[in-house]
Amino acid sequence: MRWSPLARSECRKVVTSKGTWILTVFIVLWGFRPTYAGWDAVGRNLTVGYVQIGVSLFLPVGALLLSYQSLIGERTTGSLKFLLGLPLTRTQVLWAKVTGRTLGIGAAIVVATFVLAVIGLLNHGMFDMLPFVGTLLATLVFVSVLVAIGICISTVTHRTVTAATTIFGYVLVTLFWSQIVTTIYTAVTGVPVDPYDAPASGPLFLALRLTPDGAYNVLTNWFLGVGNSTELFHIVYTKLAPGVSVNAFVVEAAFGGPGPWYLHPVGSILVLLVWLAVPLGLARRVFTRGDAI
Amino acid sequence: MKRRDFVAAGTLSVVGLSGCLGDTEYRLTEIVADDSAGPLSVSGRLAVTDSTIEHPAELVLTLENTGDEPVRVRSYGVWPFGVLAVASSPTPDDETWKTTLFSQSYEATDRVEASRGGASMSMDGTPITKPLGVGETVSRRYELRGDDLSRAGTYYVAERFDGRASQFQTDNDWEMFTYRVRIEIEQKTRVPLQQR
Repeated sequence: MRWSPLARSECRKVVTSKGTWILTVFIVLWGFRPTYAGWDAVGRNLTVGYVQIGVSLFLPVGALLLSYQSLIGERTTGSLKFLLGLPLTRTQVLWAKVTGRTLGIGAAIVVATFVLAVIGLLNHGMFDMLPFVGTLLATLVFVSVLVAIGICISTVTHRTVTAATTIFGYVLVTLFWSQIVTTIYTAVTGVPVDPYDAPASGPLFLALRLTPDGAYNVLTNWFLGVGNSTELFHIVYTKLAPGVSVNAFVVEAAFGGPGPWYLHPVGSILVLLVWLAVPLGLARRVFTRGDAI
Repeated sequence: MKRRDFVAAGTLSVVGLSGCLGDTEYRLTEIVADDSAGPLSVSGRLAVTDSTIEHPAELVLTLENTGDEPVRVRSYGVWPFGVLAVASSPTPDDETWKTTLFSQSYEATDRVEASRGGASMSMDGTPITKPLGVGETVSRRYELRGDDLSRAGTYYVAERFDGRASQFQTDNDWEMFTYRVRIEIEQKTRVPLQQR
């Protein structure tokens, strides 16, 4: 593969970056959160829950910040001319960038996951391997999705400040996604949405899980066996506990059962794959057809 | 602010928050029982001192008839102590927050309905009366969950339902069964890599 040296170079850049290891430390420190609700929800698999907690907050911002300058940075400094002078097609350059950055950030996330696993092992004992491996794999797919989005933004924008603003906008939209969805749902259907007692609406719940963050949480909650929701696992457990009222959208609470077939957690894999393919396709289209410099 | 300062401040903030974001765990350090009334004596023992996310602390209360005659003990819900709680005052009033003590015996009877945290709890109003022979002892184990506590400090065992305290009868008169059990509770420090 002629593009592998470029991918290795990208990976090395990420792995030797201080930001990558600050992200790793943040995920570990934020993720380690022993709670009574968490233990009641999943027992010793709380260790796996630590990964979900740490990754949910810091990985989206961290991975986007570590990827959004990959092309636009080279464009603004002029080093992209040398890159395009290599005997590689533009698609191969893009592929090498995505692969290298994904491997670099993925390596840091694997380190964070194993540090949390060791801490959890010492504190709570051995956890189940199936949810752990499933969550690790889901996290790596989540990394690749975020890198694809970051590189897509880096490709389609022409100024660093525009790219940074777009990243900021993406983070804000995903942060307030449930509010955005419920507002639109109420405007379209006229049905008010009370998160304490959400309506049993398939389209509403489907829309809530269309972001990469939401799909990741649905998938990892499925591995942990707590319920079908985009919320963190201990919130899902609390929502489903009898006699407790929490403002969270949980399929089992709203539908009194598993809900429509298209809300099955496996569908979240498809959502993540779409978020991987669409930004990559868009980036390739723009990078190969436009004026790269 | 320079970028280096910003990153350092952010890192220190997260480091400072780590561990604080987890729930507080407690350790019961001492249990002292005194002021038992009449022929009945109450003693307490800590069976499990740590109240952590993995398990509740456990204490065992023992009632002994130290008198010369058999005594009839009347309780509500479960015999002989009834449904108990801990409170920050030895004489809690209606305003004092009480943290329910759980017992396996609640599950063995349909006289007590208890939910986790004591948020919803009900008790049958029919008393249970049983005799306690001379020198006879009866022990009951109670659990204290850490997430039901709001802070460390000194707590006292109290009845969970006002007006439903246990009573005892020697001759023909029923008397209030008064005793005081004090529990010292401290916050358990959490070191991420602590060994068990």
